[in-house]
Amino acid sequence: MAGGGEDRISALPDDALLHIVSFLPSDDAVRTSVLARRWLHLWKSTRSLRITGRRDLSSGGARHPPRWGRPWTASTLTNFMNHFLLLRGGGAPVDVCEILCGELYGGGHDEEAGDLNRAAGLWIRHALATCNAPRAPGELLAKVELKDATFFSSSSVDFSRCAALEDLTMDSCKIHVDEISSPSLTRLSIVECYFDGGARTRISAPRLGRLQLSLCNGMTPLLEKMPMLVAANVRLEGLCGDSCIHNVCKHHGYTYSDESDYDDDDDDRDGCYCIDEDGSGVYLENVSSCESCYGSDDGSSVLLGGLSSAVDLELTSDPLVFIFRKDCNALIRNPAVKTDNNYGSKEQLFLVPKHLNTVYIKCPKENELVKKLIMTLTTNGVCRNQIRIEENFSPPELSGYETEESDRDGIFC
Amino acid sequence: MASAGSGDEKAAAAAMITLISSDNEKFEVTEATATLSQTIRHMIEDGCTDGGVPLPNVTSKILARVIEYCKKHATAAAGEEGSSSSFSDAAFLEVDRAFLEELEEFDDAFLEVDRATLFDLILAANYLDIKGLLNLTCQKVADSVKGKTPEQIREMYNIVNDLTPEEEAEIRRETQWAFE
Repeated sequence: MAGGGEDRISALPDDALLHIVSFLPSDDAVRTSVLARRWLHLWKSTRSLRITGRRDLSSGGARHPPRWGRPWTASTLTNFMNHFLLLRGGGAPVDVCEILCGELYGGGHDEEAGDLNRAAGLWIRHALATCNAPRAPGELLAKVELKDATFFSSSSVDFSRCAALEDLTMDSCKIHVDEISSPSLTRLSIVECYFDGGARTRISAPRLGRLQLSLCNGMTPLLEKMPMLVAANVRLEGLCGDSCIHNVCKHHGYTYSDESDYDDDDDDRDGCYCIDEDGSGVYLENVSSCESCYGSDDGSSVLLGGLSSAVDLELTSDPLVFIFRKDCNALIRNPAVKTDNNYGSKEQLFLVPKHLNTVYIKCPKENELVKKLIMTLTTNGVCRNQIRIEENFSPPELSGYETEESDRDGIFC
Repeated sequence: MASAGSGDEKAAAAAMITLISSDNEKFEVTEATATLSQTIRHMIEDGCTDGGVPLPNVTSKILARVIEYCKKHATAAAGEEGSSSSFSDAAFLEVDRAFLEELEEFDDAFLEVDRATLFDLILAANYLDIKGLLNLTCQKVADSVKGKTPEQIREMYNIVNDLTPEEEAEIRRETQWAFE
């Protein structure tokens, strides 16, 4: 082994040694206490809480080499966390919170798993409560990363106690809460999460500047006003629970409607016109027939209302997901937004932001939807030469269209 | 070894700082490169860099590596600032991504050093207070320790166990919850 017989690691100054221990998973960090006297109490001063999976020796990949120790079970993990949090330096702040325990082994006891879920909520609250340490300006932002965490709660995940929290990442979490709120958050990233509650989870983060929301299952969360938002990237996939069971729900009536385009002289304005995969149309007479689209919602905006301040906005949607269409309809309350073309205001696919400079459209081929979009844009003050179309665009993962809008970059459809 | 002594042509206008290693080798670097080190930044702010900055704790071999790191990352920082003002095309995202990848590759290659050099780099990064370099090097050591038993770690780093068997047994009992 390189390095000869010298004990270089123990010769490091305290700061540097603590820095190394802080990068270790917390259980590894605690175990360093038996190495030698120098290491005895180091783990108690680490400013990190890191739980990572202990995989079976057989299942270690290149990125996650097998770790020593039996895989976590609900009871060993709960036991570890309770000791770790109580015995580490009283009130020592946590700058990094990374909970990535993966699948728990040997459990199977629902009771234990329930205990774990309850305990996990407590650990996270504890970690957040201690991240409120005063900081010199320009110091690292308080950052919380949650992976594979589950939030069971009928109320909310409230980060208001953690005034230093600016950057929150939720990756592969199950979220069963009514609200996630933080008055201080400036960056939020929610990726591959499952919103599993009965109602839409509201996200309240009034200071948010950057938002990423992608690949989520379940009900799309509802964004409250974010007046300081600069950039957002929202990607809704077909797995999202807000997709129309009748394939493409092309438009719906609500209260402003002129059904003549659709050969439908029915006066029922609560209908939903859907297109099946083979292209044939189905008109559903009332909203409840298309409950997955509009059934239980109050018609308020889900995403676009919260995103309206962004100047750099990238929206991608599987055609089956109706959230953006629904939002546009919800926001265009005023039927006076009439256009002189064949496509009435009910067909308006987007609210055209005032600050829109350039529009990029990426689509597999110039299609009907794009034509309508261009019509909508040009009738709302966007010059044709501001619109650039990239045809034969093949989306990497989506079969649908890609849409983006921004005052720099523009719309995608 | 990197030719860290040669000044940047385009940096004629930029202020240059001379760093002096423990073995008296002089390295001329731009201020942007040097100020990745908080220690040197403070010296510059205090106006005590005339005649060069002596770094008695850092050998020329290690200083050359440290400067190589700082040069690369100073460019990255400058690029980041530039991109926010000049991004007018969707392609900027691609450029950004490519650049970050390049930086990651640089860091990976940079870490391919023997263990003695790695510890020298940690000491230099700690002394010069270069956060990125300290994180990079400490993470590398942590990764090598991760998931190892205490015995394996002791053997790997020649750590002398100065605990009596009774003491060690006692600590293990007290931290049993981390060994389960």
